[in-house]
Amino acid sequence: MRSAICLLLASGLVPIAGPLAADTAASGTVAEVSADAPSELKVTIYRDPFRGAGSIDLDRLEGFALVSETRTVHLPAGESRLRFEGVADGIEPSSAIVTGLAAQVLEKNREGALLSPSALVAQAQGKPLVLIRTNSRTGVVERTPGTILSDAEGGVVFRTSEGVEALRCSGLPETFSFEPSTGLSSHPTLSVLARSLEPVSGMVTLSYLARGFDWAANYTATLSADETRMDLGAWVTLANGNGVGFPAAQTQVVAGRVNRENDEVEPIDVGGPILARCWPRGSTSDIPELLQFDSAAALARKAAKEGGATRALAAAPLPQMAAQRVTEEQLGDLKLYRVPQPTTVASRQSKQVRLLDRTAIPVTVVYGADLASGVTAGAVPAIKYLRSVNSTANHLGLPLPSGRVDAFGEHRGLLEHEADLRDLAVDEELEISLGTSPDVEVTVVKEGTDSERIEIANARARQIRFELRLSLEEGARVVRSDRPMETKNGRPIFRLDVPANSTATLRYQIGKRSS
Amino acid sequence: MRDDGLPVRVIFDKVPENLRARPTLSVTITSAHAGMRPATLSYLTPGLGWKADYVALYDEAGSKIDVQGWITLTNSSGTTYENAQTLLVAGSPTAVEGTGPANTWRSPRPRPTVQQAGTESGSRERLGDYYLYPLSERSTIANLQTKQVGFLDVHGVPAEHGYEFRNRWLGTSDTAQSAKTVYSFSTSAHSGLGDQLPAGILRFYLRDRRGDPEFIGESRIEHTPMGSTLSLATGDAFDVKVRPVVDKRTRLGAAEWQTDMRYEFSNALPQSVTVKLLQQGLWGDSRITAESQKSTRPSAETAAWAVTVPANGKAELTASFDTRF
Repeated sequence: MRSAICLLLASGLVPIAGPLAADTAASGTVAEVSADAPSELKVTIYRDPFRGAGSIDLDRLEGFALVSETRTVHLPAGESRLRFEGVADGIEPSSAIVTGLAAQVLEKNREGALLSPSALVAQAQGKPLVLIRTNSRTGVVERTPGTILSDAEGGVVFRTSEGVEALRCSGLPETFSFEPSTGLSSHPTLSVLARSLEPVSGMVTLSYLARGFDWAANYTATLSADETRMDLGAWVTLANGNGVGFPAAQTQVVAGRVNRENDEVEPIDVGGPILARCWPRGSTSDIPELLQFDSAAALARKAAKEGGATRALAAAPLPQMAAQRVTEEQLGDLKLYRVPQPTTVASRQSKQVRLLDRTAIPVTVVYGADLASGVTAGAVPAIKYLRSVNSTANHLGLPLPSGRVDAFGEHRGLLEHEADLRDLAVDEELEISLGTSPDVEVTVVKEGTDSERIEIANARARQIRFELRLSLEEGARVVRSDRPMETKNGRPIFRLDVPANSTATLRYQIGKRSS
Repeated sequence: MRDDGLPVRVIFDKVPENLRARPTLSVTITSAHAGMRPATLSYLTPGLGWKADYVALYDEAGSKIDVQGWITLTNSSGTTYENAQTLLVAGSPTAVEGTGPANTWRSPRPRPTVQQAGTESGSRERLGDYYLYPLSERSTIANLQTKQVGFLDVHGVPAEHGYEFRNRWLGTSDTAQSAKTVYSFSTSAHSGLGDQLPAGILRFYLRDRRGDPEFIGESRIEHTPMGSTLSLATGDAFDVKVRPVVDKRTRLGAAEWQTDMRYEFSNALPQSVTVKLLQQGLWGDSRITAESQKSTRPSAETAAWAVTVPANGKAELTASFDTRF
């Protein structure tokens, strides 16, 4: 007699399970079908949505990708379970979409019960199998038919014709021989339950989101010797931290921040250890350690902890250089960059593709300081900025995706500074910080309760442009100053030129109440 | 067993009656006569749950979306339910064992997704105030399985694409910030999805120039009645940006301030766009004393402007607020 089970599931909270109705005829047998290996692959990589600027971290790839695989399938008539093997490890099963299947899709499943020693024992419970005992002195192998009665709490109890025993409690080498087919796979596998009236052969496309990818732009800015022009080049650096590679894939990256909701990760049974829980063995004075069979996942975790996984990423080959350049297109409110030729996004690999090359971009070098009024400060180095506008007149005028800028001086081509760049649209101001400059020092001297004197000392052999931005208390304003004052973003700003090898001064007075 | 460490096999004749491999429920029955009869066992169990997942494909040219809804069922209860008849309840029945309301005051309030709650009744089966989603066929729900079954497939629903920018009180920025990309559509029967939507995640896709669907962001939705208007943010617009600036704060009295705000809009797209600007935090008797464009007040503490930004151009909006803080 077959039991009738009815599940009542409440979303989120309380599932209620219990039989309600009489059983209906069960569906016929389900054929097990594996889809062919992908014949066409498409990978679109998205950045970490919480990184506004900067480069990717190869040890923590927090971005994701949309993977589309085109595979050939052959389905027999009737119901079949179509398995897609070799999908990315980071697959988010709830995002999977199957298109092009000329059969009715009844359900999509992702099995989280993985092949592990404890899963093997659990599946074999109550079924006949063979116990193998090896005589450790003679090496003679003895095979006894038996049944596993229980695997509760990781300990195994079995029955043979001799009686009931606990596995490995005698201290003799004992193990089981399992039946080969148990329906467990070593990786989470995605399958589709489909029904078709007649045999179907055709191409289906499986697309899904997967974690463990990321990309960013890496810019190189080379400043001319007179600091008026800059050459800007950039690479798209993309990385795949999955254990699955994507050979000859049509590869794209998307710039712009997309919303991601913190989704729960679907449960996976990695398996528990099988223990020999027995009476104390050995002598009365020492209690030996529990015999423990490591589960596969525990071994993997151990290997990862010992640096296996991180080393694999860190030891990824140096970015491969490719001469092709990506093409840009608009995707809604995002930017899509397409790698023109199919390329292999290998497992645990980072790869670079050229993004842009622009030369002779006019730039202004500005030294700046941010000061809060009323705070006396000793000599503080000013920050050097490189400014331009992302316009066609400046040989730019194209979207600049966020990333990291390595700024080089033309003199000897040495690295000056690394700066982060956020997403810049066309006609936005481009500002690259080149770090503090010890050649330009700013000193704040308090002259009275409300008045301050700023001294800017320029040790460079060239006149510089200096900007001082003030932060005032609420309601306060600058009532008097000996240099022209402007307002930028609601804050007072003084712009002045400091001649070569000299000191400029600036005095101002703050009024607390404006009315 | 032995003190010399030699192997000892202990063989039991039988297992005691009260020891079982799995936790077992048993009942004691008194019956007048022997025989086979069907019995029904009902019980509540945690570890089973479901949510909805939606796939929306937006057609830019026609301003329409196709929406597919999937029920995603997860079983971590430790048991496989073979060939079970399954019924899903949408809504959140109170669980006494639950952890209670989370600390909502700590995290910022999420952006509301339902613009207008619907008033239409659906044709779906109901259980009290909850909707029921029966699976049409018996299904095996294996332990640790994630199962998806389709329940919604609607094509060509009118949808709108817009931009939104929310500024907190005294929000000011040196750099322009991206506006949010927002898609809105209705769940009503005549011009929308025509169904109530169980809570879940809606993923938006858009076709690229080669016609391949690409992911453009996702948004969480709550249980949504039929006839509602949904407005879902999918991400930040690369080309449409807003820079809010507090131009001036003037003290008018002991507890009265005037705040002059300026909002600079920029649009690097080849077509003009309209950005919905929301200035939040206008608590109490806050007033707008001057503004360069007429505002609306969706609520007492929020002022809204619809600002049109020309193609490849800029726009500016100024407003002065009279507040007690």
